[in-house]
Amino acid sequence: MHLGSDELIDLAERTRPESDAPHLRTCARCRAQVEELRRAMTTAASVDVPEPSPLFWQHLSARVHDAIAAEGTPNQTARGWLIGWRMWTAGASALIACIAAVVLTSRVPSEPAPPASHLAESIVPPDALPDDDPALNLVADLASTLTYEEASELETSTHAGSVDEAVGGLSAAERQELHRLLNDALRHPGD
Amino acid sequence: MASSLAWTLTGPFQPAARRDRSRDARTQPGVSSASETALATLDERALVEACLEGRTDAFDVLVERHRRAVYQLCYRFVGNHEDASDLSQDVFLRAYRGLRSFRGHSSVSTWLYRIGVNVCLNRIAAKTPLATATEPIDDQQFVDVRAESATEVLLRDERAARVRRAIGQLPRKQRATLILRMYHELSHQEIAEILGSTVGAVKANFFHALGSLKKLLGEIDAPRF
Repeated sequence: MHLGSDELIDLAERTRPESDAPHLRTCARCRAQVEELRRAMTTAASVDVPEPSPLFWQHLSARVHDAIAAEGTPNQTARGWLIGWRMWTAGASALIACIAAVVLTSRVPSEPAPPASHLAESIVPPDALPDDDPALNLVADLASTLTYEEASELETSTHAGSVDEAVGGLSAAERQELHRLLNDALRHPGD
Repeated sequence: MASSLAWTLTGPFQPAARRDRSRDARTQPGVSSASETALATLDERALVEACLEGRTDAFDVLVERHRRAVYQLCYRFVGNHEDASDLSQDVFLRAYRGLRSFRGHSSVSTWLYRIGVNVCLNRIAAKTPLATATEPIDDQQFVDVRAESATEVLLRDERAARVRRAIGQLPRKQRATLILRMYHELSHQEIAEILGSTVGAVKANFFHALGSLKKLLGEIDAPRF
């Protein structure tokens, strides 16, 4: 049984003494392999990397320095990625919940549909919504300067089930309007 | 293990990275302030933490400590100064972007080697094989030839070019293993971590790399032990 490649490498590198491999004393083939490996190592080791100009090292450091100066700190980079990831996750979960809600309400009617005339009366026209409500304006002003992290700290970001809770809190008129907007979006996906 | 290899390969054949590593270790950054002096005395983990706190000058210190090894690694893969220089910058940029993922389980140098090997293997997979990309002998820079005759220099350079071309023709993992083991003194265990492999596979790759090198070069006429 000849020596395996790992044993031959250990012997060629002298990390394993030849006295630990009695087979080597009796096998010319394995002995020749060890010698060939040593010669190949010596040949490979004889090749140096040409030394660049002494100025090169400073030049390389300066290039790297300039490149990372343009990158921002690793924290900023990672935080930006994290925020982006969280926003995408929140957005995707909201969209999935909305689509599921639309599909369920359009395919599984839980109650008999009301007469058309009654339905029309229950829908509040969009222009009747209070767009000059001072409380809403205040919230809009505050929200316009709020960063995502600040919003997260205030626990206003989405979490599992938050979309259901939000939809559940809508009035009948608001649900109808949401339904209409979603149907519009599904009919005109390119808009 | 590295010490035994050092015993095997002494004198003029001592790997360049081994000699140069000590040279760079002695080289301290150009200190001009107490802050920079303090950074230069930090260990690598502390430097990484300083980088994560937004101190880019801490990363400068890391670059200064490892730039020679990273450049030499890249040069071993691509065989010319321009590409090695670009790849070195790329390695440090990727390291900087990935600083948060550095857990300290391995040394910074092992981590940089891992990034370097990936960057280099990706580059050579996308570019001309090394056999045709190797720098012409005339373009090699700053080799100290004062003690050698012109003929000796020519023969040595021709031989080096042949060996580089042969290494450039090795399969990717064999090439990476041979470069990390022969020129960067990494243990089989460290190479296994870098290549995502096992010690046994690394030894097998090294064995096959040396065998292929011998075949590619023909009869090796190095001095016998």
